[in-house]
This record gives sequence, C-alpha cells and structure tokens, in this order.
Amino acid sequence: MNRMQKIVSRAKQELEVNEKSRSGEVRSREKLESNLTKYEYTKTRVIPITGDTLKRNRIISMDKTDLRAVRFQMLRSKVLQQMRKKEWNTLGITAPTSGAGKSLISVNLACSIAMEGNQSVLLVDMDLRKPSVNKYFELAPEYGMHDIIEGNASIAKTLINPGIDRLTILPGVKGVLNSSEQISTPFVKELITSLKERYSDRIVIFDLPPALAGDDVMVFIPYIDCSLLVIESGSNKRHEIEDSLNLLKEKPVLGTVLNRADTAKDTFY
Amino acid sequence: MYEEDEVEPLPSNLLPTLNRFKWYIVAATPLLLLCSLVVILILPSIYRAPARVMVETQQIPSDLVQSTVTAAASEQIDVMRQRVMTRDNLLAIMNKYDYFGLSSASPLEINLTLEEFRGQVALNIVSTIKGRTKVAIGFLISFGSKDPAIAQAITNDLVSLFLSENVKARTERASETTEFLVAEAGKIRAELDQIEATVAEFKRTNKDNLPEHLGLYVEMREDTRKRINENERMINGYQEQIRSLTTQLTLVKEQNGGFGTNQSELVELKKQLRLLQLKYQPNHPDVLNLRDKINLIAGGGNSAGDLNSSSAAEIDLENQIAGLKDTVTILEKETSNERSKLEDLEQRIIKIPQVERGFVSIKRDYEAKSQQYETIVSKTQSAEMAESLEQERKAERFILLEPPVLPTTASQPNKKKLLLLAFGFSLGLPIGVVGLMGLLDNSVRSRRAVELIVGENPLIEIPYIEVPEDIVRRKKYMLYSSAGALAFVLCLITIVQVFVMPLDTVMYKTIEKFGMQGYFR
Repeated sequence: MNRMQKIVSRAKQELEVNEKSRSGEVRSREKLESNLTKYEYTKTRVIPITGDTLKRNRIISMDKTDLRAVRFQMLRSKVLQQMRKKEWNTLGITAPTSGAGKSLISVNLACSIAMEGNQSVLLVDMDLRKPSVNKYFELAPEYGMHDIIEGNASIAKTLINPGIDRLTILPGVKGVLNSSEQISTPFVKELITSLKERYSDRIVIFDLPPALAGDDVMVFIPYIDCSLLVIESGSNKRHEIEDSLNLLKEKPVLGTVLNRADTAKDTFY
Repeated sequence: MYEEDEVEPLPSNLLPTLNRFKWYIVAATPLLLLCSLVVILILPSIYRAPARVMVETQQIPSDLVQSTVTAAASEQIDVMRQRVMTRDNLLAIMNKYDYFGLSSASPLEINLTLEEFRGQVALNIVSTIKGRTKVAIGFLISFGSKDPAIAQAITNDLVSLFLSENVKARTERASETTEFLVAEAGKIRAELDQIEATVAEFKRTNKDNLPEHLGLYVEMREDTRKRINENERMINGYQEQIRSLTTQLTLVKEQNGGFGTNQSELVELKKQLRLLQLKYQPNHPDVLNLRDKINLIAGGGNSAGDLNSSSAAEIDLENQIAGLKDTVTILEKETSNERSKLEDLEQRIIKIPQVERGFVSIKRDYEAKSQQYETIVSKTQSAEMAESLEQERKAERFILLEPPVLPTTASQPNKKKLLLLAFGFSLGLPIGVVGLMGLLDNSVRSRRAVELIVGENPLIEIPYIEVPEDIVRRKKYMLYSSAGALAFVLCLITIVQVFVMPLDTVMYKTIEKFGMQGYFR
C-alpha cells in the first residue's frame, strides 16, 4: 500500500513539474526567438545509429529487453524527480578519475531520459581533453565543442541527432590541451547560459572531465545547476571521492552512481 | 550532507576479492602443485642409517653403591653431543673418507663442509614418561648422506665416539669425585692434627689440674687426712708412754740414791731415827740399824758397785724414752708433710673446674672435627666404590642396541611431509596473494562504503555492462591462458627431460620416491 501511494504521489509530482515546465516553455520560446538572431538555427543533422552499434558500445538503456536498462530507468527517475522539483535543467556528470565510466553513464542516462517520452535531452561532451561521446555512437563529426569555443563553427552545425527521438548530441571531435583556459573564457559561460535558456524545455547533460584530473570541473561547476558523481567500484579511494565531493559542493550534487559494482548483479530481478 | 565527521573504516574487501579471484586460485593451484612436485623430484635423496643406543640403568642397586654421575640421561646425552661434535673430532672422522675431499679443500671449504656435516647429524632422544617426568631411555643417532655407505660408516664412527666418550666422561667424573674427597679428607686431617697438638699442649700445661684426675685427687685427699689422724693418734700414744717412762726413771733414780729420790727416803729415815733416838738410847739396835740404813743410803750412791747397777736401769729407760721421742719427732714430721700434701691436693681440686672449662671448648672443637673427618673418610670410601663401579662398567651406561645398517631407501626428502607442504603451498600461495590483495585494497567497492563516505547510498549501482565482444574476448583470454599453462607444463617436462633426467627415470623415481612401488607390480 505504502509503495503504491508513493508511486501515485510521485506520478502526481511529475505531472505538476511537467506542467510547470510547459508554462515556462512559453517564456523560453520568446527568448529563443531573440537568440535565433544570434545563432542561426537550422534543423539538426540526423545521423541514424543502428541498435547494434549502440549495443556494441554498451548503450543498453534503450533496449527494452535488456534487464540492465532498468537500472538506468531507476537512475533517470531519481534524477528527473529532483531536477523537476527544483526546476533545474543542466546536469554535469563527472567522476574522481578517468575511466570510471562517466561518459558511458552520461550516454545511457541521456538515452534513457529521451526514452521517457516527454523529455528532450541534449548531451554535451564537455571533456575537452578527451572527448568520448562520439565514440559511443561511432560518430565522426565534422565539428565539435572546441570548434564552437574557438569560433570555427556554430552550435547548429555541431549538433547531431543520432536517430533517437528527443536526443541531441553536442559531441567533441578531438582533444585539446588548454581545456581549462578554454572553459574559463567568458564565451563559454555565455554559451552555456544560452544553451540552457535556448533549450529550457530540455535537460542538458554535460559529460565533464574527471574531477581530479585538472581544474576543468572546478571552473565549470558554477555554470550548471547540479551534478552527479560516478564512482568506479574497486578503483576509487575514499579520499578521491571526498575530494571530488568537496570540488562539486558549490552546486548541489544529486547523488552518486556506483559503476562496475560487482555486488549489484542481481539486486533487481 | 557530504561532510564526514566520524571516520568509520570502510568494509573489508577481503571476501569480495577472494570471490572475484576464486577461479584464478583454482587455476593456479594445480600449476603450482606441479611445479612443487618437480622440485621435490629434483631434490637429492639423502640416506640415513640410524643407530639405536640404549641407556642401561645401573646394575648394582643404588642403595648399595651410589653412582657419582647423577645427571639425567637426557642431559648426559646433550653434554656428550657437545663433547663429541667438536671440530677436531668431526674433522678426524671426515678425514677418514675421501668422500668429503678435505685433502684438497681450502680452509673456507673445510668450514663449509664441516657445517654441512654437523647439520646432517641427527640425534633423537627416545624417552618415556615415568611419573611426571620424561626419562630418556635411549637415543637414535644417524648421519644423512647422498651415499648410503657413507651414511652407515659415519654413523658407526659417531656411535663409537659417543660410547667411548660416555665411558671416559663417567670414569673421569667418578675419579674426580674421589680425588676431591681425598684432598678434602687430607685437609681435615691436618686440621685435626693441629687440634690434637693443642689438646696435648693444654694437657701438659694443666697436667696437675686435669678434670679426669679429680676422683683420684679426692681419694688421695681422704687418704692423707686419714693418715694425719692416725699419726696424731700415734704421737699422743707415744707421748703418754714417754711420760710413764720418765716417772719410772725418776723412781729408779731415787732408789739408786740418786739425787732427788734417795734424799726423800733419807729424810724419811732420818725422821724415823730422830723419833727412835728420843725413845731409845743411841745404842739401841733399832737406832743403830736405822743409823746404818741411813748411812747406807747416804753413802751408798757413792760406792762404785752400787752405782753401776742403778745406771743400767736408768739408761735402759732413758734409751726407751729417747727412742720414743725420736719416733714422735719422725711422726710429727711426717704429719706436717702430709698436711702440706693435703693443702696441695686441695689447691689442685679447687683449680680443676677452671681448667675443665677451657678443656671442654678445645675438646668440643676436636670432637666436631673428628666427626667431620670420619664422615669424609666414609664418603671417600663410597666414592672409591663408585669409581670402581664406573671402571667395571657396572653403573648406568650406554649400549649399542642396534648398529647402523646399510640403508636401502632414502629417508629424505620426506615425501609425505613434502607432499603435504607442496599441497599447502600450492593452495596457500594463491589464496594468500589474493587475500593480501583484498586486505590492501582500500578502494570503494560497495553500497555500504559509498554510504560511509558520502553519507547516503548511491542513487544506483551499475554492473559492468558486458557486450558480446567482451564474452568473445574472455573466451580468447581463457584459451590463451590455458594454452600458456599447457605450454608451461610442456616446457617444464622438456626441461626435465633434457637437463635433469629422462622421463622414464622420472617416472621410476617418482614411484620410488612416493613409496608406490607396491602399486605397480
């Protein structure tokens, strides 16, 4: 009974949040009109990706037959619930160290959110040093995030739809060394703000670099609403997690994700 | 929310790690076991020919003759081990055999060989429980060598060294005991002599006052007293006699007209005469008679004949009196002698207690010493007896119960123990390594750990997302590693075949080494 009540109340909450976002939609539309003059907006390029490619690259959250997708659904629900409650729409995903699986979690979470049916998602690869989102979709994009920052390309040219409804990707192409300097330019701040406002009905997920690998995350954190910390089981130490949380605490941390957990094999079904 | 004030340790990763690597452990164990078996096989065989030596207890009851060697047999064996295993002894044995090649060895090599030799000597004490203590009843001694004949020969040498050393040590100890006791007895004898001399000297200086003479002195005193009394009595008697004789003499003198006595008679007669003259005429016969008589008396003494007869009696009496007086004088002299003697005796008797006190203390010393002397003499006697017990080899002794025989099977390596060890090692090493990994792994691995650090559970736990490619890769990995293991085993076999020994020999050796001959016949 209790559980049922919870589910019902949660559904109600979600309905409310959706209504709220829709009411804000009208406001943002107006802003969008004004932004259109600044950034030319054409229809997003669609590069369809086959299900096999996704599966091959461990993107399983869209596969309804895969039991593991349920975990991402759980994650999606928890994340969306909090974000909608507080009217946040930008989420940074990071991990203490590299290789923890933050990009994989980002991609899967983005896909899962897109699957929900009434929520559009923009996945931005903010890992300027080692962009990897493109690899998960096996994309070879012409322009990437750093092109936008350097002024070589417009946002519209860079955006890609991988053939999944309500999912847009802003990929990276190649790594740059001065990522921290690039991020700290006022332009990036402006860019993020505009992305946030332009796609205010969307959830923008930023795939961030490792929190402890440089100061990129520290610089970037003020631009976003909230963050998620991916912990790699068997690799991250206590102090790394504590340091990362300290770094992120400027903005709310939605929670943590324990990746590669060997204890979590059959907790669901 | 994310601050962690209390530092609670993270849950241990030991069990999860063991769980994760269990298949590695399962795979590594047989490989390690195989390696261990090869090592066991390559280990050289050591032969041992044990000699059994028994400790035989004293054959003569110990309440009759007490042995001087009182140390427990086990202690004796240990002591002997030290005495036997000296460098000189061992080098002497080693030099007997070319096997050790000492003649051409450098000093360093000699030392090394010696150490090795020492290490190969095994001495096991066989004991039994008697009451609450362990009593050694014998020991096993053996020498380990790759050559069975050498093992036997050297064990033989060691045993004879042990036995002779034992006899030597025991007799030595017994004769040492005797020597010690004899020397001790001599010392005490000298002291005793000194005390005896003191006693003699004391006796000499106090010879008149020796307490042992007290009785005699008292007796003598009584005798003397008696004698004095008697003398006094005699003197009195004699003096009485003298007095009577003197009276007699006076009478005799008077009768003979002697002055004194005759005069009174004369006076009496003259009185009578006067009376008569008054009555009678002067010519009256009575008057005349009386007058004649008076004349006779008055003039008789003057006549020569009369004078001679009266003197003889007087002289006789006088002589008698003089004789008696002499006797009295002698007796008196004697008495005074006796008195002085008595005084002397009494003086002596008074001094005796004083002397006695001094004498008692000297005597006490003397008695104590002489008792000590007697004890030590008796001890020396029993020590001498024990010495002859050892010399006759009737005391506790070591007898060779079982001489070393030429060994036919190797005693080392101890295959059962080694196999067990190899098994434990093969299983324990991987488990230990993985366990250590788990213990040293302080990374975050569980919900609980995340909760401890972050303060709340992770939103979600995601397992490793495995794709078909991973499965293919894993299969490949399995294939390669099994191939590697197989190649390793083959290499091992090849190495053994080429560098160590042919495989058929290996098989025979294995069968022999693990004592399985019985199963293959």
